[in-house]
Amino acid sequence: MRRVIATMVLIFGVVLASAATAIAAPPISCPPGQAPDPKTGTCTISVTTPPNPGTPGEPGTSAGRGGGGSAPAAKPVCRYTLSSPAKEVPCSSEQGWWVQSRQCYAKVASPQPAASDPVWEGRTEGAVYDCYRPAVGPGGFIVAQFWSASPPGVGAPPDPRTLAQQAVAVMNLRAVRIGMVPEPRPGRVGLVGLPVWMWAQDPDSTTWGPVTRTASAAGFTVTATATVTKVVWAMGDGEAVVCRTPGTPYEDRFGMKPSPDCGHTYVRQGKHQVRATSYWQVDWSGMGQSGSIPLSFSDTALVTIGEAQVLTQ
Amino acid sequence: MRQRMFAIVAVVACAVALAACNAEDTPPSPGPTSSALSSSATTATGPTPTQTKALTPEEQDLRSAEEAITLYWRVIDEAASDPTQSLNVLATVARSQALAQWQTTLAEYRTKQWKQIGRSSVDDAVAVTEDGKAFTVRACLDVSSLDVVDAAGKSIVVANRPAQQQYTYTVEKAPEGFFVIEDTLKGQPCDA
Repeated sequence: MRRVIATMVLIFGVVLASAATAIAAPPISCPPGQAPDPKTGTCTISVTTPPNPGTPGEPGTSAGRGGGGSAPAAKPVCRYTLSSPAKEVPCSSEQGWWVQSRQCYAKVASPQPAASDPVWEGRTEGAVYDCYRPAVGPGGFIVAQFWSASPPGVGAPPDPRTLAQQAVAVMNLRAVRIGMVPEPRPGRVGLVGLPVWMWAQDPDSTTWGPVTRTASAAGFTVTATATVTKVVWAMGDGEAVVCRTPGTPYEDRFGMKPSPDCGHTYVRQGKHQVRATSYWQVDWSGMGQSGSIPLSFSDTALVTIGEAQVLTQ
Repeated sequence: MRQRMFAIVAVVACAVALAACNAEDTPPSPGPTSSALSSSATTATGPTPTQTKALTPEEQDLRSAEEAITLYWRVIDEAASDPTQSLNVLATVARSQALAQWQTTLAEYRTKQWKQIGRSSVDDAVAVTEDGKAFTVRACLDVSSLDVVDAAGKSIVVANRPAQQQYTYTVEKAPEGFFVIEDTLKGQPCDA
């Protein structure tokens, strides 16, 4: 009987101990910036959601931490926190620029995956980057790919499209100044059936191009050249005239001749709001990439068209 | 007499053991959820035959958001089990932070030559949404049937890894389907 009771107590103790262990297992505690991996219970880096991971000063880099906006920019320190122990790594290498949040070096994948590849995450802008992870022992780097709107990584080069847009910004591009006969000002009246001449008044590099500007950042340079490809003249009567030249300014010696390259003829009298829209093409190249940026600018004028009355006796 | 005592001991021990198990495994108490209404109305014990209600598009979206979690873990499991598989496969089920999270975590596995054996399972997924585009999904993840081993085949799973944890995900409805976009790895007990 004693043996039975002893056995019972022993079993009870074992069961209670295991139950208590199951219930009272201490929660897994991870250092800041890490979270328990559900599969292993080990701490893994907790990826936050920076729109463009890897910019200097992102969580995990030493640069920009705890400083105010006016503090001088410290040289970023890149840390491979998933290695054991964590170690400092160069912020750039042959494999690209260190992306702290992903713990890998990133550079533009070449060739880019097909547009249908899910790695694009349904996006059409930006680019897909190779993610190179330092590996333990021989084996070099492990590659994954990810999408990013702009080049990620600490000290990563600027987006060449952004540089191109900066170059465009200093070009001071604008619409053509409208030149017309009949002149679009009070007291001037054109006639139905007579030729109308349109041209770009005093075309220069800012209204017709070409104009070339360069933008640089972090030692990278992009050159952009802007040129007008066409001017679409919406004549206010429902008609549109496409002119691929600046047009020819009217002179009295031309008499009743129509414009050789940019003209129109009204068939109805009235006041017509004319809109001249110049279409620019900006071709840029640099950093091993090239592209084109379309732009357009408009100017308007009001032209009055009357009808000649012929009196016969 | 001795046999009766052993029987009593066994019964008591089992009862205690079951109680202990239940303390951990008790499923979430049923409460009002957005997707509960979307479930097919089935009656196992009632006198009437099983009835299935057609889902509205909104209900179907909730169901799809819940199923996205199951698919998400299936793909993660496969990538963790097969180190030769491209981590790009994760992009078929995840985007944004969730994609970055598991690309990073599984790249860590591969760096350390870890490999998963077995599979996880997802239970009790419940989705809610306010705008029909972003869904918050809570689901219990059961990892009791999986192990992660190093190159030598030794388990690297920590002793106090919870067998079941409830996680909250954000699922996005995109033209290409439903994708997990946020997985913060912040778990809590499934019966919380």
